[in-house]
Amino acid sequence: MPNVTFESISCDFRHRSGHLVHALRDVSLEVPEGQMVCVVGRSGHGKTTLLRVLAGLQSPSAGQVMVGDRRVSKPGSDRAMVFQQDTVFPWMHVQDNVEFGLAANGVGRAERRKIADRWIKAVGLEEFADSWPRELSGGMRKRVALAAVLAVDADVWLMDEPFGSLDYFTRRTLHDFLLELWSTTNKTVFFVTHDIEEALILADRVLLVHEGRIVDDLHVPLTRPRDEDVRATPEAVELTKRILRHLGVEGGRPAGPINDRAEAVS
Amino acid sequence: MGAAVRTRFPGLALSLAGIAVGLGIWKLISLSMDDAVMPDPLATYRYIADNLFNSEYLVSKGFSDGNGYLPHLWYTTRNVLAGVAAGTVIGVALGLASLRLKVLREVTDSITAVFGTAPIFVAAPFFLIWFGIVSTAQILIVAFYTTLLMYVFSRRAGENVPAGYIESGLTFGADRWLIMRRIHLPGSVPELAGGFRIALAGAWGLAGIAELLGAQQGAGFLIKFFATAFVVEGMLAMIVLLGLIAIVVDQLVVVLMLYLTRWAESGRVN
Amino acid sequence: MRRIGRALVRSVRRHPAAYITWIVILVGWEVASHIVPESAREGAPIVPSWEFVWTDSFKAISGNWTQDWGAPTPVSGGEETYRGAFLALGYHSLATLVRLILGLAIGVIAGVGTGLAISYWAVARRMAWPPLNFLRMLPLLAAIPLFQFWLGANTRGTTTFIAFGVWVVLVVGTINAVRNVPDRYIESARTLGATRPRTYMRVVVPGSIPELRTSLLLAAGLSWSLTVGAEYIGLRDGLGSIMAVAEYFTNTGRMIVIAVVVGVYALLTFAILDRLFNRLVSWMPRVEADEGIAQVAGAGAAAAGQAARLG
Repeated sequence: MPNVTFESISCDFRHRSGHLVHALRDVSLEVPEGQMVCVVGRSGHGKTTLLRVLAGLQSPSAGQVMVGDRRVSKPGSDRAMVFQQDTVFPWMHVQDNVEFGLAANGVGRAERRKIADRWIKAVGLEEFADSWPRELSGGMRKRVALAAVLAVDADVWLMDEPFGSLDYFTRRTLHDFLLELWSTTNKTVFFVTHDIEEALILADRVLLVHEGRIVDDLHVPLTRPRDEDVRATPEAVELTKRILRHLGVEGGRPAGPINDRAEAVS
Repeated sequence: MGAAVRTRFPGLALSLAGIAVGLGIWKLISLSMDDAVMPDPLATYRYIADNLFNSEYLVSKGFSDGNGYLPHLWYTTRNVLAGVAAGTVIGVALGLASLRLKVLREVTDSITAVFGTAPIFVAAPFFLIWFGIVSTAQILIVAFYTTLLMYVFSRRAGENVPAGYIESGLTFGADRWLIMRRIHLPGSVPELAGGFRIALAGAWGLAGIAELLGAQQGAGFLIKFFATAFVVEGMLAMIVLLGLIAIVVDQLVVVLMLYLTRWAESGRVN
Repeated sequence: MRRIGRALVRSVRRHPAAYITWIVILVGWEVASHIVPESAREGAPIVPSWEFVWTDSFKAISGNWTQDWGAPTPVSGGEETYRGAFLALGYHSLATLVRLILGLAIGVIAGVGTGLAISYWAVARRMAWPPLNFLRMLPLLAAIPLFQFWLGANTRGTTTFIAFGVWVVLVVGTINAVRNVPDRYIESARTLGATRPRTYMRVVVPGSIPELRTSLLLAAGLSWSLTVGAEYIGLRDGLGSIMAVAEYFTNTGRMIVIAVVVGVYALLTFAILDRLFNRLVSWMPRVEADEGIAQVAGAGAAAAGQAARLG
């Protein structure tokens, strides 16, 4: 399975008001196969853009992205994506949703059914294969999205804050699901999030994005599973503090108007 | 207003009460006017019952083989249903295709920008002259009008399908026509349903007036005939009947739409 | 002048297909006018050439000018002139526009008012819905002879007819718009202490306005159809009526001229209504319907709550 390489990627947008926004500035990066990478950063600093360029949904203004030795130019099922919003198609049953990517790639009906059945089972939704998405909870719908991505056997999984709209407990359950599925399939994963706890639970490697650049590239050597005890070790705490520093949260207090004023008063 | 209103009467009873009030208002108006000008509800009902299946009046004037109003009503209904069906298929196909094909978009926009807003009625005389006073003329008018409307509606509905669905489809490697078929089309249905009912509602009037102007049968033709003979009950009866048929068809459409959108979150009702 | 020229060039470059389409249509029409066999009548070709339309046919409209001032009257033997044609068009346009604008205005105001009033009480709304729905489904265009019998084939009757048609559309549209104001904005206002009437006035009513746009445009289209239709069938002045005369004599050229004029007026009506409507909600940022309602309702709820506390 291939590496993912970003070569001098820049991405500029022209805002409606005429303003030019440099979403990504000369980003170069190499990700070996099977690595779980979390991309962390503040909103609007380019982490989603990075993902979308890899997905092929966004063309970079400069540079190129390579998956193995193939250049990325448009979206494809080798880099399947799970979005933050609900993109499970509400007008298709769960079964059809999971089969969609297969159908799009010309897989025959019997074969599709077999593959889809397997992954629906893997995410624990066999009883709901013929249900409408609206009958499922948010967390269950995310599992459908995961099953669909697994079904097309993508080389790279792209996840754009996929669990952001779910409640904490559902999120933790889905982390377990994701890690389980990842460990058995050994795919490369790009996971965008602004939740540091989530990053520490999931990642082998954390990339910190600030104003369109990668300002830090952290290796996360913590043992798995990353339960509360592991995340309380001094190593883990140091990682957390380092990330927070980059995000502008120092000494437990984020920089900003309220705290500036508080300091001025005291 | 709002959701938290408790009423002691179930919805059906209120609807019936509303209809009763409506009929009551009608009766009041007819009382204050000459019977020849505004017949009252009961008289209209009796008139319809007398003439619907077997109209001696029509026979006496030399029309129909004694089959009453029914064949004429059926003629109009058939034109409307066929015209709307054809117009919808063409309009939606064009509308969705225009999302992808810029050329198509520009060509059709330049035309609909002019015709879409001008009263279609003005085009009716042209149709009648050039296509002759045949059954097809009314169907064509209805189909033309429906195509225009459904084109605009399906364009907008297609554009309103959340981009996330399209992008998701793309990341699965779907090509543009698969996305059109399995994402844009089903995703537009809820919004299209409302537009379809609007097009359908207008089609009745359009078919009616087209018949009024140039047909030899149909509800509109009868209305014109009654108008020249000053038979108010006849005109009123035809309008009421057309309205009732329109309501029944509309309700059937609602049921159809509910089925087609059975996957949707329960949302607003229009 | 130069700016218009440059804007035009830019427009053509950006949308070549659109302009090509129109050129093809116009040229094709001209070709057809020479190919299609002449009809039996002199001066009444089935497909008139453009030259014919804008000279002979246009001038022929002066036949509709029957006053003895301003221009010669062809009806009594005078010649057909451009001036006569303009006067005729002006006169008939005025007749049509008066009916249309009055009917539309009255219908909209009455319709929205009735709709808001009915929507206040759920009982009233439930009761009114079936009869209103029935009225909405009546084929008004086909009912023109009936209404002319009742209301008279004159300006007052026609205006009333148009007002009625518009009224029905707006009542139903307003009731729907009110129903679609999200419950959470009403609940928010009430928990801030606003009374029912205040909530209705400050939250529900403003919040329902954006959705009225569709009904308004629908009503505009309908009012044009009704006006031209009523004039065509039973009136003796107005653009619809001169269209009827032209059709009776199969003067396709004249029909085209009138069709173009009506089309231009209709486009103008829609553009003006659009502008007016935007002005009305101009204090709302231009966002999607739901977001817009949120802004409106949020501001209204806060204001209603504040007023409740003070009052």
